[in-house]
Amino acid sequence: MNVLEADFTAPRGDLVLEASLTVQRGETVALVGPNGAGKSSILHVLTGLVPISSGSVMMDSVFWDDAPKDVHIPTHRRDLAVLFQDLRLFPHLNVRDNIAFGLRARGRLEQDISSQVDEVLERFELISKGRSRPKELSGGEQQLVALARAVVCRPSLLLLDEPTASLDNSMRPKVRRILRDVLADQSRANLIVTHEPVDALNLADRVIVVEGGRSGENGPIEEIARRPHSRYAASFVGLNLLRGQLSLAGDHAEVKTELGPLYVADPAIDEGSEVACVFHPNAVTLGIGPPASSARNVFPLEVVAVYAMGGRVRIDLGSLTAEVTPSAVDELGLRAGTQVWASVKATQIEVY
Amino acid sequence: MRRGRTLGRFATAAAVVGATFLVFPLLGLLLDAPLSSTVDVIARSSTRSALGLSLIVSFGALAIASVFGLPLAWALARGSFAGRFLLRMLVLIPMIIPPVVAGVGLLAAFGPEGLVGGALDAIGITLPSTTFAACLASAFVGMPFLVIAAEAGFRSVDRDLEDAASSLGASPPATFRRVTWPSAAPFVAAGATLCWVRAIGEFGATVTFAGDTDATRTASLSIYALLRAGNDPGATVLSLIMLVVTVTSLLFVRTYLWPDERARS
Repeated sequence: MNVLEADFTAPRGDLVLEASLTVQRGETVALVGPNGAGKSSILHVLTGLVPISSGSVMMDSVFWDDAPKDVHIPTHRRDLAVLFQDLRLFPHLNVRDNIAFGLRARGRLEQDISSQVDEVLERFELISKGRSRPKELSGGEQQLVALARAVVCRPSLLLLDEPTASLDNSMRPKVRRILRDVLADQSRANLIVTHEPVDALNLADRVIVVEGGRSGENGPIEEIARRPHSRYAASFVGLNLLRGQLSLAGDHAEVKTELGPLYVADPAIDEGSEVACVFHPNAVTLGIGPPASSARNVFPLEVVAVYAMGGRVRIDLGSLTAEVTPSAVDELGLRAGTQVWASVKATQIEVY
Repeated sequence: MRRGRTLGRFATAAAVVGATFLVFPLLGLLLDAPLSSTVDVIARSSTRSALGLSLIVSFGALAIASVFGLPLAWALARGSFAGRFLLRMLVLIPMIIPPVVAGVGLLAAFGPEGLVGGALDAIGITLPSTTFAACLASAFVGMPFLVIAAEAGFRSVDRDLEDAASSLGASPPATFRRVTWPSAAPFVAAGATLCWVRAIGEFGATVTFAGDTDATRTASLSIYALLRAGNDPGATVLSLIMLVVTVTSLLFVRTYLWPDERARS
């Protein structure tokens, strides 16, 4: 059963948010997308801090926002909690009082508050920090306090905005472990904003891709990894994606992409359809001059950046990413600004 | 080079004269205070009633300024209405006009023949010559200090923290009490202290609007009356007491309240 059902548009600066999403009880959904895509703004709408212009937000069959009827439940009356990207711990309160803030706002008894705060401090490994002010803590500890402050209220909807982004590498495993523990609680609907594929894979049951203010692809991450539909979703799972219109000419099929015609194996799809052409970076071969081989998909491109990835090296070519061996990088002298010829075999391109 | 040095010397000399000019009257006050008669003056009932009245009037003025000034500061900081910029300028005026002009203005508004005073008079309320009038006069000149500081305080509050408080279920009043007010409080306290100091020393507006009667004779008015009466040590002793009170308040504000790093931590 869906707990959260949101389908709305909202103005947000020069962007118009157009989001449609549902989250079930016990489910964790990750909103992924490039910077500035509107992921955090979607959270702000759900929180009630940004008004919607059309559509509705419904939680547990109650309208939080209903634009046609001018319904807008104020933030403090929504049964939710937020881990803000910038944490927003109260600087004038110590860790205990920060964590107790939501419980006090809900009018709980002081003795219950105290025992619940003790419990969460222990669970989050913060016992010795109760009397510290936020600024006396490390970044990772502050992150945990903010998470504890949100979780201790037992909200029906938990919104986490980039929960691991600001962490240093030493804290990340600990925060991820605690996050996974928190998200295992089946009584709640969870929505995470992240740009970390690892978090989407480890923490979320389902992924929704947000681009240009719109929510798009939606499904388990394995499904998106197998068949991404947007450039971002493809790069998120480490694949190349080029879109274009399919045309058939005699023995071969061809897709008009931004790079030019891309020859592909006949996909048995109607001519004229918009298709996605997806291929792994290791299907891209690089050379300094035009290849002598029979490869027909050859594009002259400039290297934008070079990244080490495990034992391989990824070459960012703007519209494409190639994966090569470190020795190939040396042989070809690849670095930002190098002109290369990238070729892709038609048989290694999946079209759908 | 030479010319620069001459100018530098001239500037140094002028600075020394300037500092002397500011410090000498205070020094004179200290040296002039006849220790033998200090106890004597303080023992006088008129001294004690003047100081008592000053306390009543200054705290009364602070109360009036707080009740009306804090909402005004809030409106200036957070409201969005036409004329907010103009209002912010107007609020400053009592701070800069001559106090005697403030008194004339208060008379024109609340005096027996004034704008509002006429109506008050008709229902049997006459403000001038009352302690309340002295409070009003002091509140008028002191309130801008409170409003400016409180507005700065309300502005300085991190709105994101207020949003965080509402997301945790705190109602707007609870958010104000538990997040907004604690952040703004040092500013408000500093403004309140300055307002009170300005009020306790008030002379011009008080004597013009409230007049010089038993109900309005604060320390400032007493000092002037004693001076006019002749060579009485009372004026010097009372002045010294006022000096101590105001300097102490200033030190208090500078040390504990004025929003520097110490106040925010």
